[in-house]
Amino acid sequence: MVDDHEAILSATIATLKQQYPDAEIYTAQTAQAAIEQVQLTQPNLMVVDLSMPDAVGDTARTEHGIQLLKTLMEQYPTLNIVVQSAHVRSLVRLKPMINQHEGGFTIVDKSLPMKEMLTKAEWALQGLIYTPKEMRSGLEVKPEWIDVLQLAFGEGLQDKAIAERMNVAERTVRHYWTKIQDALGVYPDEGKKNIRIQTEIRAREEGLID
Amino acid sequence: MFPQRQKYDLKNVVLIICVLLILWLLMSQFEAQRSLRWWYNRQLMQHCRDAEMIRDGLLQESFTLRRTLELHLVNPPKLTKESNHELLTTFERFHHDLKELSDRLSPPFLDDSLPLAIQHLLNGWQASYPLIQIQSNLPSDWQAQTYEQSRLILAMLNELLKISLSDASTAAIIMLCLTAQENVSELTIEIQSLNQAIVWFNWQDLRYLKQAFCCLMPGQCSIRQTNELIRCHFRWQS
Repeated sequence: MVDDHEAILSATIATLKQQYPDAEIYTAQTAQAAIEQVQLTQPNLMVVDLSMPDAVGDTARTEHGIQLLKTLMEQYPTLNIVVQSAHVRSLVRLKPMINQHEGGFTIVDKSLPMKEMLTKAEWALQGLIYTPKEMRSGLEVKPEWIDVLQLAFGEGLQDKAIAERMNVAERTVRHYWTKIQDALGVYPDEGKKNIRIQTEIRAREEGLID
Repeated sequence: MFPQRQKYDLKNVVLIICVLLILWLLMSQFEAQRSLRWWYNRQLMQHCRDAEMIRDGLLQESFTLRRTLELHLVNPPKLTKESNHELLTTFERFHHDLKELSDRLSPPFLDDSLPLAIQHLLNGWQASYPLIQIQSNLPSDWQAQTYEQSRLILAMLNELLKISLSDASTAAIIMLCLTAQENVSELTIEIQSLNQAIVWFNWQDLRYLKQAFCCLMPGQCSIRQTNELIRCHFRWQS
């Protein structure tokens, strides 16, 4: 958990402890301390603010948080990350990197209720991607995602077969699914709905598959 | 022949005067544009700082308050004296930050009394810069002027202090005198640095400040600067 405000750290830790009472939670208040902590602890999930000082004594700046995220995504491509910030819109400049990131990546505005924050943390732990709609410019879809949709819903193939047909690892196909679902705005609904069927419905609505 | 030559010379003189006048007008316009652009940038920077202050202060505090209440709803707490105190401190900080922002957006007393508004501004500077000594001579009676005029005078004074006092460790004596006679008001500020020379690169900013004042107010401004002293005199019609 990285945030330079002591009160925010306490409040967020208390929130996470509600959901994950046995979790070991480590904190850092600067970008440099955060990198050291990740190296030491190799966490399952990282909750990061954007505005923070680079080192002790520095002024808190959004650029430091952005730089920290860049470093983390480069060095730990499968790390699950939740960005919890009051200025999440600044993340738009990291959009290409977020798209490439293989771990979970969710974005939580600090104005969101506790329950939603915990949902986004759970999604990140599951390896899902969630970016606010306002950060997207229309429906951005990559050709390989269309291939996945066609192979899955056109030919009824499962992930393993899709991976073989596309000559990629099965993990990559799962990664494509999270990207497609984020682009279509399909997220887990506490197990009430089948997420793949929801994806198919939305993909047909958007005209991505016939 | 001779009168014709004289006529020719006169024409040339008139032509040169006209060219010089046009050049002077163009230069003045260019300078005015530059100073207004400078003024606009200073205001823009202040807006950015305010936005940062909202994001890094108010929004963080409101987040803490919200989470505390949400957690209390989930697990009704056995509130200790200490946790109550923490909550109250956060509320107080939240209130203080909001008040500060509100004062910056619309300075208090400005509708009624420029001297009181100036005094309030100086109190804020004194609190942030403990090493400055302020000696002010402000009239207790003041005939209300338009809000726009008073707002601009206060903004100019604030900018002058920002330009002159580079950081909180600056030790300086600030003398300020505000007077009004009939419909002409005057504000004189002397800033004398005690522990460092007032740096020369501020001169450009002071020049822009002076020009911006002349563009925006029906008045005059003069600024004198030596190594340790800035003397600024604003004079305007109310």
